[in-house]
Amino acid sequence: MNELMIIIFAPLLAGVLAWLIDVKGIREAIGVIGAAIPLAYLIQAYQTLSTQPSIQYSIALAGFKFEFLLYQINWIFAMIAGVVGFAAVLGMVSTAKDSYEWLFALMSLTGVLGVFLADDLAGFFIFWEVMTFASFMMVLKYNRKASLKYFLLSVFGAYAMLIAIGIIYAKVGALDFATIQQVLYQDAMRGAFGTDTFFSRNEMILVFGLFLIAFGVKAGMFPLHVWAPDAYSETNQSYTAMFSGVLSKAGVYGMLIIYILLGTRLMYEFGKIGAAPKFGYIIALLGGLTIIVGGLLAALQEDIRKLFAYSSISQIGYILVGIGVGTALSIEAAIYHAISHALFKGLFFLIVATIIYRTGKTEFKDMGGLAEKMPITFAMAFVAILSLAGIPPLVGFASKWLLFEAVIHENMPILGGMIFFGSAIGFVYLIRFTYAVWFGQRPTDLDDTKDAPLPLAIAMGILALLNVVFGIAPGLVAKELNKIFGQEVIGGTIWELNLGFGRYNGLLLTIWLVVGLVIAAIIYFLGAKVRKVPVTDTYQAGNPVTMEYNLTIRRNFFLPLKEALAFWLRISFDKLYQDIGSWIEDLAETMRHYIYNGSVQAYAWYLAIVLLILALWGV
Amino acid sequence: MVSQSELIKEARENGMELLPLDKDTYELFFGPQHMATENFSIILKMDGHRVVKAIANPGFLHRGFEKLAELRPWYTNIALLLRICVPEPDVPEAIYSMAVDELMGWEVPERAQWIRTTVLEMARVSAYLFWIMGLSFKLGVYTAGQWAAAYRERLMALFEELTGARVYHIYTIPGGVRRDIPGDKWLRQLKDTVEYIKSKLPDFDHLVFENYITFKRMEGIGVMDKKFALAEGVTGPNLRATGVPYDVRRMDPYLLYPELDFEVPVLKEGDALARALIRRYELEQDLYILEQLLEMGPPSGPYKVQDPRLKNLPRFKVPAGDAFAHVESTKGDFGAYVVSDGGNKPYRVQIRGPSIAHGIRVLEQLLVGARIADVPVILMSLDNCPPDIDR
Repeated sequence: MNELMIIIFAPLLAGVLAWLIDVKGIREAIGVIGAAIPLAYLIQAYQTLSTQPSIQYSIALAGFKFEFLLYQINWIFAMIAGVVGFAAVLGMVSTAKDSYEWLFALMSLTGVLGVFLADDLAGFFIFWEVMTFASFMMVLKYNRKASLKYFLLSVFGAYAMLIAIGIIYAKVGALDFATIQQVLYQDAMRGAFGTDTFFSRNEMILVFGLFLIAFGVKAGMFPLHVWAPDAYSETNQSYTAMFSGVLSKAGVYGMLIIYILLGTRLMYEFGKIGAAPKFGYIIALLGGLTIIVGGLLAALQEDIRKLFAYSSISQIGYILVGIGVGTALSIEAAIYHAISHALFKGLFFLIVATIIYRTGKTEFKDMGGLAEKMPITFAMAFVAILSLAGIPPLVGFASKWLLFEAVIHENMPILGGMIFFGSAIGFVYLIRFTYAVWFGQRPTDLDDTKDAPLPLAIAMGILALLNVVFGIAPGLVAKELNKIFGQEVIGGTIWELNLGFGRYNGLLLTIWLVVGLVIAAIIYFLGAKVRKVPVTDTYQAGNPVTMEYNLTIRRNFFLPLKEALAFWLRISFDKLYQDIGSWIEDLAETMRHYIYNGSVQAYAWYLAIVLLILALWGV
Repeated sequence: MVSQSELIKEARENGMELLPLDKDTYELFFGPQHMATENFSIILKMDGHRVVKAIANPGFLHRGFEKLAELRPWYTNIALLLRICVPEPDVPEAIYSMAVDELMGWEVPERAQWIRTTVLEMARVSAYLFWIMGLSFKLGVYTAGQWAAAYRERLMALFEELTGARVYHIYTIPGGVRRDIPGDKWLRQLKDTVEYIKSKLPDFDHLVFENYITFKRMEGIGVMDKKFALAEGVTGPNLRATGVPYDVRRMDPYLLYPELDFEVPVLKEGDALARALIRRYELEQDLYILEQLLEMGPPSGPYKVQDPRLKNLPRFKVPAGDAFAHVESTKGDFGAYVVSDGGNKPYRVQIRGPSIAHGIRVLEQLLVGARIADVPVILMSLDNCPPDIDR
């Protein structure tokens, strides 16, 4: 059996085994092994890819020829899935309650690996559905309403994709990527020489729009993001590390597929704005809106899971901007950010999982002062916070910096403003998280909280380490990304990124940061003696306080922001979709009521009317 | 040694509350050790940055003047009672003296009346400058605050020359004033000072009272309507900002006010901005009154009543009875109720500070729904004076 098949199906097999055996201890071991196998094979495949351009495998089944291909881009995406999926599965050892969760969590890993490795639209679609179904089942176990919302929007997206695939198949007559790419490229050439094209302008708009909806839903793109806050929050949070870290990347990967398959044809049809293709500009603008909407809403959440769900949406916006701008640099920057987003958001959701596992609480108002009780988790959170906020020696900075540079280089002030705003708002919601969870007064019912369990700690450790390593040595990632385009888009050494018009040296920066910290430490430790005082021994304008007073802002932390945005917050896409949903329900109810009205005479009339129509038609 | 977790377990088993008690709102202690509240504290229950409930917590300055005053001879009490109002200490002196004058049945000499009126108006001007300083510091316009403090210092120097002290003058006494005016040089200096401060008013307008930021920060916050203000006993500029033209100098004239020409500014908005603007207009009116007084000049004659009973002050006795006197201070209607049992000490002295009305109940109600940044501004716009609440 080919190694690609092992990569794809090992998690599913392990999931089914874990489900069948269902013995505590064994099912966890099987699950972890199931997630480790793809990772091991992917690392091994790296060797193979250095000698040959791709690994190929095809299989004929039920009249279709399914093709799988592992090459540079999807190796990177599959590695994201492998690493973050493995970490999430490790986290699930602590947080999963039964074998049901093991089955579907591993099934969704299979789905997403299949999406990344598929080289034809049929396989792509099938694995897409496997992924959607498995993640739906994971949410369903926790919250029915959230899962139905997710499922409805996903199915809507998936069938939009199916229609697009149908149109392409009807015109091209093949489903594999290579043929489609070639035919559309030729189509663009034909257009350029003035000959009639296969695809009309409207058909291209339709196909592009349908794909945009399909991938936008999965990625959580702005008007289609409403499922994400509910689905990300109402499930096992260890699983969400994978759900947000990897499954949303399927949408991002889909956007890249649009470029790969339709890119030249769309570019020919619609032209460019500056260096960016016009169709990409739509993706980029929606991505920019996603950043802003996600970021602002994240700041206003009262629930730790919801905050990171919206934050996830916001960060996906960055990736979409990068992909939308569409130059080699911006696409590399976007993939870089996809990697760093998976790393830090995976870490964040594992931290959330730890907090919820240890305290049983999800709302900010019930937490506080946990840094003292959970030092390891806090250290991990510190890394994740610095990474997401884009503080230099971590991976989040490198990727955001590349994105800024890419957008500024293309001279796009609106997009630049959007991502700069996103960066600022990122700080805003992270301060909320930092303040509300780790610092301040600790409610007395959290006084006997323990630190993270070992599997979660290991999982967090893996992701935190990668956050630091890829931050200090950004060249490690950049080197792999350069292989996509086969040229040195991002120059420099392993420690340095060099774009020609800007340089970022991770190692030098880290050294200076450490030197600065050492100087600060010298000044601090040479200073006056430090004495530890209880948390209630605080300023409070000169009033004595006890633990009975609540001295920490636990609710409505960003009320001024909420008030400033009051007008915009009334416009809710969530509400719009709900209205449409209830309108359709009403319509169905009305139809049932009037057409199936139980009167025999009415049915006789229907028959008469149909006969009349047939008679008029001249049958 | 019992560990903390065991204690918590025990507490839970016994059904004890887990702390903190209320997680939806948080307590923001505002004062006494706070730049915006002087010796006054408000406990704010906050939801985000909005006040849900405000609890005024006065009493940090309660020094028991009213009890102490019963233990001291009539004249000694002046040195005690004037400490009730820090920004304008001449007001408690004046009302106490006026009440005692009434009990004694004295007709205060004309020269003393002129001096008392002048001193009260000087006190009003310096109190308004002091208030501008406070407001500017709370709004963050430090320049205006420092100017106001500097101009007030000129008046302090004049007070020092007149009375010997910068702030607590112990100057107005029952039956007149303690010392005569030093001479024409002092009157010229006062004239110069009044003209100088008047010429500087446009600077304050540019910085504070015509400033876009001031308007944005003060407009529409802490709104009280006429009915509410009257029901709560609000007086002074705070009441006039709600559209009630009540001014003790007009309604119940005392000293030389009937002979003077001045306007009582009235606005009807009742928000913090209206209160601030009223004070700005009154400062101008007070300077105008001082100009008129200087033009009038001090009439000749004695500066205090000639009464043989004043020979032995510790044994000075006031006939039995009671009297009430009040004046218009910058905070509002400042009154003293004095009861005498015929002895050499007052039986009871009750001082009615205006801040007692707008500093506790009104403040508590105006703060509900305000933002944190509005709290000091509302407090300052009411011109709350903690010592006259606490006494």
